[in-house]
This record gives sequence, C-alpha cells and structure tokens, in this order.
Amino acid sequence: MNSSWPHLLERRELLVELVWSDLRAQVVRRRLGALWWVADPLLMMVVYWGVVVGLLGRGKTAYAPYPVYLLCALVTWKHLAKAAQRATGILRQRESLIRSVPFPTAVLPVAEAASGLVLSLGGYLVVAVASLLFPSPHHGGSLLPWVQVPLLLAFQLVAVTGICLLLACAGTLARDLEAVTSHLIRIGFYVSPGLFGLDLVRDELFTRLGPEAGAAALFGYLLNPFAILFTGYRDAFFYGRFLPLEHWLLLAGSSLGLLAVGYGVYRRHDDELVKRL
Amino acid sequence: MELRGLSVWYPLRNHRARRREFLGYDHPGILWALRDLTLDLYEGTTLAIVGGNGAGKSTLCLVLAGILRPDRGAVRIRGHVSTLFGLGQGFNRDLSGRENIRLYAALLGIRRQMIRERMDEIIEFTELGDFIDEPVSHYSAGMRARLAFSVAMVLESDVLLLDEVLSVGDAGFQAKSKARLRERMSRSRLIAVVSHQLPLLRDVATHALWLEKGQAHAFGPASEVLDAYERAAGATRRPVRRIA
Repeated sequence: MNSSWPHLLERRELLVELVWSDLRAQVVRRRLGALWWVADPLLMMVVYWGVVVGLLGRGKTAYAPYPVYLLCALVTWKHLAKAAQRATGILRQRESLIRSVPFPTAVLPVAEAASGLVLSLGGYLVVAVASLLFPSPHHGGSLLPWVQVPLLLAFQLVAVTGICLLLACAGTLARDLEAVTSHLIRIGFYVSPGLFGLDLVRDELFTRLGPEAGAAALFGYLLNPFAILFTGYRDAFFYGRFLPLEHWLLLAGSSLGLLAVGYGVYRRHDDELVKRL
Repeated sequence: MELRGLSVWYPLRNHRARRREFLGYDHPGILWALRDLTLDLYEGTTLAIVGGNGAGKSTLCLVLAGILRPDRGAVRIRGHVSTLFGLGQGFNRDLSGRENIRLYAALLGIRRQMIRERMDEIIEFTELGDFIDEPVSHYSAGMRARLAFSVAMVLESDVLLLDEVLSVGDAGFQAKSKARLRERMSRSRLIAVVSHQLPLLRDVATHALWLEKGQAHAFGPASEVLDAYERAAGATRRPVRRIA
C-alpha cells in the first residue's frame, strides 16, 4: 500500500495508535514512568548549569541565566535528534511488519516525529517553570508571548516530520546513513543558534560581510527552521516578546518546504523501499 | 482477480554474482522473482500456490496484498483484500495483550469502534485469561499467535491471502483456529493460500498454481497440479508434464 495522502488519511487511526503505543511503552519500560518526561530535561539543565556556568564561568552576562537560555534550544534539538535517529533505521527495524501487513509505511517516520513532540512537552514545561523561577533580567515582564508556543510546536512538528520522512527513505536506500545521522545532527546543532543567540550571528555576519551581503547571508541562515524555532522559544520564555512577523513567514516557508521535500522524496521511492529492506 | 504479465525484480546486493541454474537472472544487478505471470481467477476459487524455495510464492502474495507493486504488468483485484501472514508482527512487547489488540487491529485497518465493540469477544477467543493484561514479552510464541489470529479474524474481506497459516497455536487451540478459519474462508469470495502442507491444500483448494523460478510452471484443477508437484518434488531431476 503506497503512502499517498488518501491512504495516510484513511489510516489516521493507525498513526494515533502508533504514537500512543510508543508513549505508553516509554512509560511502562521505566520505573519512574512519565516522570522522566520532566526529569530528563531538568537533569539536562542541571548538567549544563554545572558545566557552563559553574566550571567554565560562562553565560553570566548576556544570556543569563544561561541554562534556561540553553534549554529553550536543547529541548527542541533533542526532539529532532531522537526522532531523526530513530526514523533513519525505522523501516529496516520494522521489515517483518512491513512485509506482512499492507499499510502506508510513511506512518512510521511520521509517528516518530509525533511521539517525539509529545515527549518533549515535558521539557517545555520545565523551560516555562524555570523561566518563571529564574527570570532573565532582559525579560519584558509579560507572559502573553507564551501564546506563540503552540504555533512554534506546530511548525516544529512539520519540520521534524519532513526530516524524518527524508531520513527514513535515505536510511533504507543508503545503509550507512544510520551511523552518520547522529554526527550530522550534532553539526547542525552547533551551526544553529543553540549555544549562542541569533544576535551574535547577525553581528558576526554584518561585521564580516557588510550590511548588504550580511543581510543576504542572514536570510540564508534563517532558512534553517531551527534557527527561528530556537529564537522563537527564547523570545517567548526568556525575553517575553513576540517573534517578528518576517521570522514567522520564513519559519512557515522553510518548515512546509522541508515537509514537501521529505514527503516528495519518500513518495518517489515508496515502491522501491520495500524491496530494499 | 486478473494478473497480466506480472513481473517483479529484486536488487541483488552482490551485483557481481554470476548466473546460476537455481536462481537464473539475466541482468547482473537484479533477480526476477516473478516473470510474466498471467492468470484469471474468479469468485469462488480457492487457489493453492506451491513451489520450491525461492519460486516466488511469497513475492506473489506480497503483490496481491498490495505490499509490493509489480515492476511490469498489472494486477487487478475487485474487492477488499486482507492478509493472514506474519501473524503478530507489529506487537509492541512492552505493552499488554489488550493494548496490542488495539495496535494490531489498527495495523490491519480495523476501525477503533469495531474493536471496542468486539474486544470482549476477541479476548474470550484467545483463551489467554488474565494473561491478557500482561506484557506480550511474557507470552510464548503460541500465545502471541493466538492473540494475533483472534484479532485478524475480525477483519472481513472479499479476497483472503494466507501464507503458511492454516492453523495456529498449540494442539488445543488448533482445532478451534482451523474451524474459525474455515468459517472465515467461507465468507470470502476468493482465497489464495501458500503452504507446503499438501494434504491441507488438497482439502481446501479448487485450483493450484505451481511456480518455478518466478514463472507459472502449471495451473489448473488443484488435484492434478498438486499431484504433479508432489511427483516432481519426490523425484530426481526429470522433465515434468505440463497440466495447463
């Protein structure tokens, strides 16, 4: 059964069941169960606080409190990293299932993206509470910018789904990709404004390239939807302000573009994928 | 069901492999698992598909199920197709039997509402008792097969495909599963069965297709084709009289 839109819509109950099963299995597998959805990002924040602020003495000025600043990006990146890594090998792992039951196989990487997002909600909860308990001196004072978060989550899901579809297809056709994916994702994190802010990138580009070339380079940089997602979550939680409209438009374009490319590539190789397992 | 020039190839991983008698191929990078298969099957037919290992039986089932698309030729099937092979694939081992009923049903395309209505009936048929709420990782292979079979029997279809599933479970459950399967088969308009169990095939099939190296070696009334297949399988290499 191919993964055309009619088939995917027809089997939407399967997508819900796959996401639910994955979440339920994550809870059942561990003694603390669903508590890990909050404990894991909390531990991440504590570790970075200890290492970056305590040991390295960084993040005490422009981005203070730095762990909260960093967590806004880390939670998002962790969603992408985990979903992408799992999606790369998902079709091979489920080979027996795919060769036994006819269903649109694209639901498998889509389910990875969706269940990953649900799991990351605990992380955003930690970010929200931490931003209240340890407010940044740069915070505007209003919580109204939090209304941006659902839309940011929606675009995040769209972008990650596109990447998961692309990697699921590529990972089946190119066997070694699974070993390389985690490194590629790590490189992507360091290139994106995860450890630092967009303001630093802007200043650097304008200084090195001048105003016009710098603006063009910045535009190219912002085609990475995660550059805007990190900035968006920071604007909402850390700075208490709204993301500019042009960033929303870029985010919509780039994330929908990723989905279109990912789905297009998957559909193009849909029939071949079963044979390559 | 109409098959017209149905052909399917698989990519060979070792594309430097030379031509061999058992698996013939004429392109260095691919293997033709099915080649120019043409067949017409009508309502009321129960087709037994037989052949040696690598003959193309499972590939034919995959194509009929819609899991694989033919590379050449066409398949036309009127009606809804359901499959009974690889029972239990897709179970999540961390979840209970009850939770896996929902998951497996969703994989098979059974609506959530239907499963909700028939959950008690399915659980009763499995005879798993309190184990139904235990993780499937604690189940034996027979218990998993019971669970999967019980869910699969809910699915109604016009065309039923079976691959080595004519009964499941331990001796006690086999009679029950066989009876249920016969009942299910009686409600299907067309059935295709892959099995090495010739006595069972003689019992249920009206027609038989004997595949050799991806091509139709013989097709016709089940008794004749299965007799010929049995003689050939038991004999040394010698030419076999074509039935059709």
